[in-house]
Amino acid sequence: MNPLPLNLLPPGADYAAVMPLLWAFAAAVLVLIAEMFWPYRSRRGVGWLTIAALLAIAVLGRAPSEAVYFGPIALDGFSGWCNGLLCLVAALSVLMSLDTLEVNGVTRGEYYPLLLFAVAGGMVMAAATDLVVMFLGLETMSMAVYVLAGMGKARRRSNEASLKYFLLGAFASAFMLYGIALLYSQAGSTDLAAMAGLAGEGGTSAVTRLGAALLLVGFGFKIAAVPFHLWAPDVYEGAPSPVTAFMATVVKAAAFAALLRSVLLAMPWVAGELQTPLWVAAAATMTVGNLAALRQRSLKRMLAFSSVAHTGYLAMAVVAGTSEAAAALLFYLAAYAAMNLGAFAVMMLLADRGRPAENISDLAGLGRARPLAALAMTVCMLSLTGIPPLGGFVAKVSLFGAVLDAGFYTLVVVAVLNSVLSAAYYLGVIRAMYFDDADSVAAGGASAASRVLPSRPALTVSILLAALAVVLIGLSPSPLLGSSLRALASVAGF
Amino acid sequence: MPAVFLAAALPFVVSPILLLFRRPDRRAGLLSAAACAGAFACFVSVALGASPATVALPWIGPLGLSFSLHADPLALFFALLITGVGFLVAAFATSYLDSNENFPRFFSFLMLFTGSMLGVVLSSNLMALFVFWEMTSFSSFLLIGFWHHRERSRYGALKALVVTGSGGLAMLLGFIMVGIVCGSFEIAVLAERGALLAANPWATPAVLLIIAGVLTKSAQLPFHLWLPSAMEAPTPVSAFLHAATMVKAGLFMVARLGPLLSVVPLWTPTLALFGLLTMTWCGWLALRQKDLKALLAFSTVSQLGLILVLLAPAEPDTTAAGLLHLLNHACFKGALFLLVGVLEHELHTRDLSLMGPLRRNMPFTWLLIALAALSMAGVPPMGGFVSKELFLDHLLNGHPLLALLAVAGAVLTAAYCFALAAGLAAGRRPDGPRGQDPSLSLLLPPALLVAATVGLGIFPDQLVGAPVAAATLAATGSSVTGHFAVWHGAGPSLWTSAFAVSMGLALWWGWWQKRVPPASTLIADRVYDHALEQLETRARRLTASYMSGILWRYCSVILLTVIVGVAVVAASQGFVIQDGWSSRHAGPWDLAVCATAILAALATLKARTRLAAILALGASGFSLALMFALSAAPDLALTQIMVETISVPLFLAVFAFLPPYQVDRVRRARPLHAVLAVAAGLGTALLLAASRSQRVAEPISSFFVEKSVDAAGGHNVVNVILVDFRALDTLGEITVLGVAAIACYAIIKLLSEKEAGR
Amino acid sequence: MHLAVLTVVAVFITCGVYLLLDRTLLRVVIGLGLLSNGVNLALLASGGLGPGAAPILGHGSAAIVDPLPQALILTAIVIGFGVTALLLTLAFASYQSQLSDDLEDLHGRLDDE
Repeated sequence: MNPLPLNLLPPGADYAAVMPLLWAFAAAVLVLIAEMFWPYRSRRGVGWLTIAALLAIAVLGRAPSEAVYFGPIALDGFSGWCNGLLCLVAALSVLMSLDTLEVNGVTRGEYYPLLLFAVAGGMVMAAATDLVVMFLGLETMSMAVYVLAGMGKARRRSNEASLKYFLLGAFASAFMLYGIALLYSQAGSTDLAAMAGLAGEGGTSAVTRLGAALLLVGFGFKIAAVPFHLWAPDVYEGAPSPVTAFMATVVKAAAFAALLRSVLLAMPWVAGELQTPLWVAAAATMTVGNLAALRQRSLKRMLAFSSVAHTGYLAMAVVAGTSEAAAALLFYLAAYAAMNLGAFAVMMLLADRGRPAENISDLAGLGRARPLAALAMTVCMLSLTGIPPLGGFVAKVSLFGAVLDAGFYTLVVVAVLNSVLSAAYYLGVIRAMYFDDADSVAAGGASAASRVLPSRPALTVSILLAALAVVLIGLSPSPLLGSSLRALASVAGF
Repeated sequence: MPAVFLAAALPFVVSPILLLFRRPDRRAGLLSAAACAGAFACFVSVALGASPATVALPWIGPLGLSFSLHADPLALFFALLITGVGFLVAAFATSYLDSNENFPRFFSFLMLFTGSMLGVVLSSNLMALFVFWEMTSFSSFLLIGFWHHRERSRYGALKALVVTGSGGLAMLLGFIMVGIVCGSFEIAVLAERGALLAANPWATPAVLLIIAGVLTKSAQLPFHLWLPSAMEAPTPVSAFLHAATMVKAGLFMVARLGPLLSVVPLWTPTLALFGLLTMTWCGWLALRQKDLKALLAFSTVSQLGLILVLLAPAEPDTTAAGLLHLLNHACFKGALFLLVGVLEHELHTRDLSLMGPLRRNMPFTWLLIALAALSMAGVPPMGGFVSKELFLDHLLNGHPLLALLAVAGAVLTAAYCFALAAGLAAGRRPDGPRGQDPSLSLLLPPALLVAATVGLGIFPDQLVGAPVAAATLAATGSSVTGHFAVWHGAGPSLWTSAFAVSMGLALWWGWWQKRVPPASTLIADRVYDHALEQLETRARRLTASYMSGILWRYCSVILLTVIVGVAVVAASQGFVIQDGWSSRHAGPWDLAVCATAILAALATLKARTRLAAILALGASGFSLALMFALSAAPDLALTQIMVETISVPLFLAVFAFLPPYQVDRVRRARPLHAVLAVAAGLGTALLLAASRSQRVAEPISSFFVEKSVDAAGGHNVVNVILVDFRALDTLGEITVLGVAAIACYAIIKLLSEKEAGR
Repeated sequence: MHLAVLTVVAVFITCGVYLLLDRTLLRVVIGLGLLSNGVNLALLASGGLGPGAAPILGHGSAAIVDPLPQALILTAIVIGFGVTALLLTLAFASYQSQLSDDLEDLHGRLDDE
């Protein structure tokens, strides 16, 4: 047998590329251990530790000026950008959960390490240059999130949500795995670099196309695109609110990041070959999401459908398939995370007799009881509608503009019409906060003050941070837009 | 800091400050009035050339968006109008609102609106303009819904927002198209690229979308429905937003973009036609109203139609006339709204048919109303006369049918103006409420506006000749040929005008008093209500039908989509299933194992007890392991056997707790399930068969095989791949397992906590 | 051989999907198990069932089968096991809190309103 070579590193592999991921997993394990020995009464300490870890990883996960690789893991501008987004958004979601876990019935300390595992899985998804590694990241994230969704103790729904999400998720994973198998059978490799070569003269083979389509089915499930969105409202509603906020932002962002790298960038032929189904799915997703959101009385369920609708807007970037659209997609993800987290945070402020209050009518009178929170909610709702000069508007302008540039005029028309439709329910929230006060009090409803949690500094801070981010992204979008463009430019192929 | 920027920013700065005032503090109103006056003074200094007219603020660099302000004469014309009327309205509202109203909120919204409106006229970039455009819609929503405890207010506020907001988004789409075709969103750059637009097929849809924005904002047919409902707003708001400024944003857009967009042949005739139809039809509707504010609302819509006709051709002479009438209308209609507010305040009603005689009890109020109404009717020597002459002049030279419509509109206008002025003088009910003239602070603002419209009639050229000419030059790029005068010879327009006024008089005298049918619900209103209701119920029904919360339905939907998708691709592409497989012959062992696997799988379907089902699953897993072993995959076989050995007891342990096993709970859907299942199975197998024969690349595995011994020192290639070449996969796989283990632990602890809690 | 393997894949997937569409929790879980077995076999088949020895070198010069799919399947089997274990735990928890293994009892949403 040969003696072991002294240099254990395979040629061209740089440990720097996997360090952020290792830090993330190490942080998860650290928090898991810390949680075991932490005194039960001061659980919040674990939360602060988690936030500190996430912020540290966001800093450590930045990309070097030259992209580095470790086998199928890349640390380039793109994964660096995604690391930052995932960690910061996750940190904000943890910050808002510090005060609200108890109300939402989450008593187990495993919440924090599982959340960190999910973030780490998401980072793997964004960094993977190999379909199998991407799949592993996805499974890591999903496993953690399946359980997070079921962590609400007092809620029947929570358990149901978790199980339903898991069963459907496992089903979708099977599709994805089969898609990877088909692509492997054609490309002879699962490496993303090999995927671009699948388009020969006269396009791709039918099997290749179906392999990519099955892969997209798996993604479609994770991002909740029609018709694979059916789980989302039930699960979003059933899961504890802090987990729902996490799912709607971090999980969606990670899935889109992986979709971006592994399909949009690595398989540029997908946009052309699967144009019609993608087009239909994007249009259907936004329309179905908005139509369903119109009539929701539950704020949480409304936000769930709104999240489906925004998936539709985001999916337009996949249809367009240009690098401008991809950059707009990244920017949109960041803006969407900020405004959505803000909305969830304000919702978490509401509680009725020690139980979370999650209906739109529960917002009545918030304008007077908590003017600052109501203002933040107003900002988030206006931004979700796409009203200028907030982050959501800039995101929509850049995304719609990129899709127009790619020549999909009708699709943009559908999207604009959908934005109009969405104004009805987003503004309904504002109306409830400011205008429905008198009615509900007259009708003998509880006054607003009794439906708001007593002062919770961490939650208040997170609400303000989210609203501030929405406003800043809107007023001064250039740095973020520029960084998303640079992130894309760093990925080979563009 | 440049004066333009200061003036535009002032309302936005004042708006949040106002919220700090206490509720009954009237000083909020004074501060707002002062802000308007300050902004007005700034614009005057810009107009006199004392301060630069352009300020540039970069906004979204990569998208080519900027927040530049450019105060050319056209923008200044509007800016002075907005701040001037804004000042009077704020002063009026300060003494008008009841002392228990929420002053800070009202004036904060009002300032938000003023700032947005200034933004609309001053923006030099289409995107920024759109931003402010939608902000005016939103602040209008807030102001209409100011008395939000009233159902009608909320209804009106929402309607205004839905109509103008949607129109705004249509306009955005139009802007985007124009911007892409012309390669810029800067208005100054666009103005020079009309030729590019004219040659592009997207020009027509773009122009139609922008027209939709104009028509909704200026409440033209068929979008006139929102303005009457918006009259639920406090009266100063109606005077400011829905008579003097916001509804004129659409007209501003026509003046601003007319020269560019009129290269599309559709632009001028479409706008002119809608304007004329609106003018006549809404004049007729105004004549039939009993509610004074509704009358004024329809009259506003009708007058806006008139101005639209004048601005549509984008020619200097008509544009100048349009701007003059716009100014006139702001004065007399603003005054009328404020005075109706006074009446409502004094008499506690707005119903024309319930009011007592005014002439004696409220002489000044009545006089002002009468003067303003005469100006609107176009009676000399009022301002309205001058601009209406120019309007008739323009149309009498055009198509006879259009001229006829214009004359009809003028007649109707005169009729409802007389009805307004004379009807209030005598009162329909001698015993109706009488009231008395209010204090000077309430009369002065409308009196100033009336004085302005009278002055515009007597000295039109001296007062506004120069600014209107400059604005026209800025808008159209060429100079006006004539000048304004109250008397310009006895031409056809004068006779027509005289005819219109006398016919109006006759219509009022001979008919209106008794026989005019009262207005019923607008058709457009019914359409709107119905559409909104339908949208909501449809949406709910649709959602309830498929969001059943039932797992197998969700799975069926997913499966059906995938199966149909695969079938479509297969049908259109045609799978090539040749014998590209080089597989060894199946021996008797192979066949036996395959048969066992199939039987085991089928057994899971048929098993009547839980134990049997679990054992059948186990059997299928073990046969799979044997298949692996026979297919030269010993590592897989070992792993599979190990996993199955652990899984089966796990299954048995967990499911020992469950209730009796039920085989077929979904009876009705069984055939569908069977079809889906068979399609899925066959599809998978066929796809697999095709995948071998369509392979385009050679597997990378030969690399692993070659390097296995040299680089990694291992002979079992699978193992080498797992622990060496693709060790990261293995690490990931272990992580997944680890997370699963932690998750299981968390669930079990959660359960035991629940048990303890019970 | 390939025809036989394809038949097994088809039967596994068919039975798996049919069970997945059931209302009884255990049958759904078993269905998922069959489904993942079917996909694993499909993975193997996509790599090749060609005549060849096990991918272990040093036993003569006989051609060996494609080793990469085998490595992938190994990963898939192990993940599948993790999924199964977690699923069983969740199913157990769900039964404990609702005292039913009928998935239609779990949908809750519409009856509550």
